[in-house]
Amino acid sequence: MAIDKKYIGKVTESNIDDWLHSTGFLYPTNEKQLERFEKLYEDYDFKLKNATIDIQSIINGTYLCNKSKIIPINLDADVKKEIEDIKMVARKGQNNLPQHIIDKMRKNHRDNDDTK
Amino acid sequence: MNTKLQTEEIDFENLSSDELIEYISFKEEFPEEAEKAFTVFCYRFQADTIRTAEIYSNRYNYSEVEALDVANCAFARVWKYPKFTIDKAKTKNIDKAIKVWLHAIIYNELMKFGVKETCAEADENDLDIIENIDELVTFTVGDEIEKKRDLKLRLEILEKAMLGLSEKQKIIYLTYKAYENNGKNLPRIVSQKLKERLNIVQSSIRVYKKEAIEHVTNYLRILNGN
Repeated sequence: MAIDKKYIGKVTESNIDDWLHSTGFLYPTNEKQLERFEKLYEDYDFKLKNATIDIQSIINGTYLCNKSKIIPINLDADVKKEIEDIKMVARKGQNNLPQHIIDKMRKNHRDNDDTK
Repeated sequence: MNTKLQTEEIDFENLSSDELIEYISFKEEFPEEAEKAFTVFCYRFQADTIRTAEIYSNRYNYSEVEALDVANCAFARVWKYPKFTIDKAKTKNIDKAIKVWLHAIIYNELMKFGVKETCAEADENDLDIIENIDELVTFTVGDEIEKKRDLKLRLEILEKAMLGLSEKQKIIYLTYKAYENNGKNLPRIVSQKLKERLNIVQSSIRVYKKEAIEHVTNYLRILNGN
């Protein structure tokens, strides 16, 4: 395996923990690791940009985590296409279904039966 | 006993963050002042805390919704256990020290996320929630932070090392590292969560952990030509 020279010696067995704590795999334990972390992620595209903390619920002691919520799911293009195919089939009742759709429907039915 | 302070004299916005924590710790005696201090503390650190929770959640395959829960639970812990004392402070930047303190709290909440639909309770095996600023200050004058390109290079190496691990191996490897690097054993509740979330038994966890350590070590050895 050809190794790019720029990688050599950057992360080693002796400093891997320091770098795990600096790069967001583990939390920083000192200011240097914190500064590295902040620099590394300063232009990170955060999805929770406009989110805020529920201060009043925390003070009142009524904050509960893991409540039922609508969870946004980022589907990739292939999954979206597959969902559209299934929806179309359901609407039109087509007979000439692609084999992978039939297999998927059969699998879903089997899974549903198993859970009953 | 609820005693009234002359709050009009207290400019919470301009208090340092460690002073805010001190006011929060007075919540039994001075609830009104504690709430005001906590509100200012939250506004001061919420953006940073939510961002941090999102990054950690991302590493452990949790969604943004869960990240926001974790951030809320981190502040709930600050409200409940406002223990941050600054003796003989050697840093001028109290806020940075508090951010390090918050990072540990966020991480701890993530590890225990969703237990009985409440924020985690503190226990003796929690990650080191450093309470004395002296322990945090290892960053001395003259220590230069690496250039961003160099930091990204190291992140890239670690991401590649992790890429070779299965999701289960990665989560087990990082979870154990977080506690062992702190000289702690994995708390029973975290170990239980690992088993439930990954749907494996304890003996498999040991195998996954061993495999993950070997993989990362071998990857680094090959990368560094050892």
